[in-house]
Amino acid sequence: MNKRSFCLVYMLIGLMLPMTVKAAPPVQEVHWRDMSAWLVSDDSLPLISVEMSWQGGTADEAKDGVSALMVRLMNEGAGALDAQAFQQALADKAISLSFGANHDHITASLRCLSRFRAACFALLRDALTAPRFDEDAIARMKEEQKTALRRAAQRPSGLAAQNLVDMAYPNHAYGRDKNGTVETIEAIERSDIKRRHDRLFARDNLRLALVGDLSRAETRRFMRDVFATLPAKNSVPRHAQVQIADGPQSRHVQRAGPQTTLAFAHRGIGYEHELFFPAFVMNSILGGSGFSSRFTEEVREARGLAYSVYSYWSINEGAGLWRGGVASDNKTAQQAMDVIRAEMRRMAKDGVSATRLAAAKTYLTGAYALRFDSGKKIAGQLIGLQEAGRPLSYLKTRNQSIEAVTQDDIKRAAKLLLADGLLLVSVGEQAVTLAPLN
Amino acid sequence: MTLLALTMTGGLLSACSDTQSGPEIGTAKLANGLEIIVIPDFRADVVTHMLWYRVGSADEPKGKSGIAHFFEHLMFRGTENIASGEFSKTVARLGGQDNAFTSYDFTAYFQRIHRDKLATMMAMEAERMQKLIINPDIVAIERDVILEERSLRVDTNPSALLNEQIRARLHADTPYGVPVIGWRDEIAALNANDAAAFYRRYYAPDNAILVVAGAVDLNEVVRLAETHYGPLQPAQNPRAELTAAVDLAVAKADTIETLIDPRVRQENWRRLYRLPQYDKDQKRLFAAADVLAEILGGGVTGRLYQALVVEQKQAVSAGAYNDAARLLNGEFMIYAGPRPGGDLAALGSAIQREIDRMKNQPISAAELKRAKLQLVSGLVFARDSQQSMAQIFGQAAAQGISPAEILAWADEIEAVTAADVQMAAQQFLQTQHAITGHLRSAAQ
Repeated sequence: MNKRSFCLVYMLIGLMLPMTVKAAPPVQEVHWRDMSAWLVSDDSLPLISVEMSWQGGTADEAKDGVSALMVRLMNEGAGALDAQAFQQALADKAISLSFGANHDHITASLRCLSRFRAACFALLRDALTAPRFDEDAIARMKEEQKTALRRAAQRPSGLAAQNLVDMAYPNHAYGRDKNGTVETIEAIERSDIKRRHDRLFARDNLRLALVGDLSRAETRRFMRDVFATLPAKNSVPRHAQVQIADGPQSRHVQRAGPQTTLAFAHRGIGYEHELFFPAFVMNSILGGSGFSSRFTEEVREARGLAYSVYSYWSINEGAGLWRGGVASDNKTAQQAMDVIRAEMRRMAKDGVSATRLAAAKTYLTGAYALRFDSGKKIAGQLIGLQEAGRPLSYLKTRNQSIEAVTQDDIKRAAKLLLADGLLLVSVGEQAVTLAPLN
Repeated sequence: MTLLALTMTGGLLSACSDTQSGPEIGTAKLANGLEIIVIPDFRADVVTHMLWYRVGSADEPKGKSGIAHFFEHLMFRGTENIASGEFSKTVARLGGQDNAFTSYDFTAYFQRIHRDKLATMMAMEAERMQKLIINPDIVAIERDVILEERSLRVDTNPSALLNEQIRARLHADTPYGVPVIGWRDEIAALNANDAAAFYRRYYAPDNAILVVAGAVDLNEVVRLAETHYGPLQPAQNPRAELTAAVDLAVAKADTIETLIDPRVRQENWRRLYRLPQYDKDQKRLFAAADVLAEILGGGVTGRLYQALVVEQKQAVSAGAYNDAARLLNGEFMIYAGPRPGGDLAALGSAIQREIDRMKNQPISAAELKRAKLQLVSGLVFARDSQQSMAQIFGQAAAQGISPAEILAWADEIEAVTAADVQMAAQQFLQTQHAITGHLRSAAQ
């Protein structure tokens, strides 16, 4: 290619108007009795993806680790089928059914070929309404859960993350491992799991998103056939109000190896806060946009101190936490952390230039469409919006909210959210500290 | 910018017998040798633009391990018209995301973006195919980044260290014995001259494959590619022939590599078998190996999980996978995690009993049917993701497997019999073709 045509391309980039993104996928709201679902009906592939989420998670449990154990058992036998028979029934129709537990929600994810939809929905119904919780399956899943704890403790990032939330949420379930501890896992009995199941799986705390080869009428039948026998109302107790710890505070975990892994956090805000979008855009510029972020520019590209450096919002009900991480050689980890803190301070003091803000906006608004290019991803997005309490109109207003963020908003968000002390965990051969910067 | 763990199981390779119409994949070739594969998917206004080069760590000169991956990083560090770091920033400013990855057999660069920006992505990717600037100061910084990457992926991860140790013995006589990211001391010695030589040798249109998936058709892609990639000069210096090992024996008897590391919390038993080079005249046997892996180790219904975890209660996890589709020798891997305090030797014996059962007795009809459905439905599920489709067809093409052969894979799977699976077990799962690994927290 010759140089001239390349320059032409660059001129076009300069003149480009804000991205025109295909209207968000056509989502229908479907109702059946007291339930509602978000549906994207699209028969271009013979597939169905369903995402389900029940409010009430690991933070709302009576015994630590019981929700995580329950979800491991949800596809370990139901009705007349024991674990092996149930899993063979899934495999015989290439059905993928998995359950998950996070702090605020219990989730289920179902994927099947549409020609097997009847079997697919029947197995889901049985798993939800008639799980067996057989003693041998419980014993096996307890071993699996303890293994998950060991695996997390084997990875420096796992060690750092657990220590960080423990600092951030003292005396609150958000600060504990979702899997509990070896001791709490051992103490769980079948009746605990059963009680957890009976209180949680209801219709009033269910959110539902479906994408694929499924009509509106079929969706209503699905809602009726799968969920009709669940209780109308859940009886999950809600967790206590959350207090996020103040910094500066740091903690060190000794571990041999060439590199020190760092995890850091700062008290943040929730989805409903007026500064949510400014904070979201600010984080993108600071550490949330990969190769375009200031952290990557300063820590990786300019100094070669790390391969990966990032930050993100971690938002639970009633508690938003700004989190980040980096891993750097034992000799340079302190320098990497100091560079990160200098960038935070610069953001709070000077904010961002108009050019930088414009680039962040065209990235965030344009790349939103990338989250909707597969049925599975669309279902995941739709359930995420419902969990965050967003209305369906958010699909259209989200980019407008980003466009509306000003340089001044960014500064306000940075002052509020990056001003005082950090929480910091280092895992490696030498402690990294939060000593005052020059 | 990552390393890709090379996986290409039949599950992803299988195809469209489940759908009325399979994916309509278009192919073309430019006069300068650039191959083109287009996978239309108009559900969203998004495209995945990938450029695959037929070069990977297997092509590295001796003593220069890691240069293929190192070079991939340098492709983001400045060309005649794009400053260092600006490639990714430009993609982002246009509403897209980009990255790249390196493996034994290939290096690939990709962007995901609105379809209106496809021409710009091609212009930028064409620019860095022949107008890269290799600045020694930047090379020095990027070398530190890669050493940090090696620490992150390998040196702080005992399991990854054990895999390096196993592969160094399993593939001692081929380039696959060297890790893609490179040995630490050799990475530290790489320099700008190494990078420049590598660039001149391999980065040319006749050594590349353009793959575009998403909201665009073949004619449009060819038209844009003619404009942007068409003027590039071919190198007419194709990748040198690599030689696979024909004698698969790596040991006289069961050979165990042990890694003892106090950082280990969950111990592990694993065995890697060296496979014969993929042979297009023996498709049925290689398809049978995919079925074998599914029956032996495909999730919780697999025989290993049922025997070791459910019945004998020795293990907390167990599985297997087949990674046959490589340029040189592929691998078949079996693994299990013992319960705390469990004996790895005893676990190995129990696994060997299941392997022997696969060799000595035919599988049941129900097992065969279930495994085939799992494998054949794989590509139907993969079609939901334009990125997965671009990945599957691009990787195959970089390894000399055409889209038509991928699409025919489902027929190969359907044709597999119980006797084929038994034969695959007998031929591929020979202990003298394997190295066993023990990951331990302390000496037993």
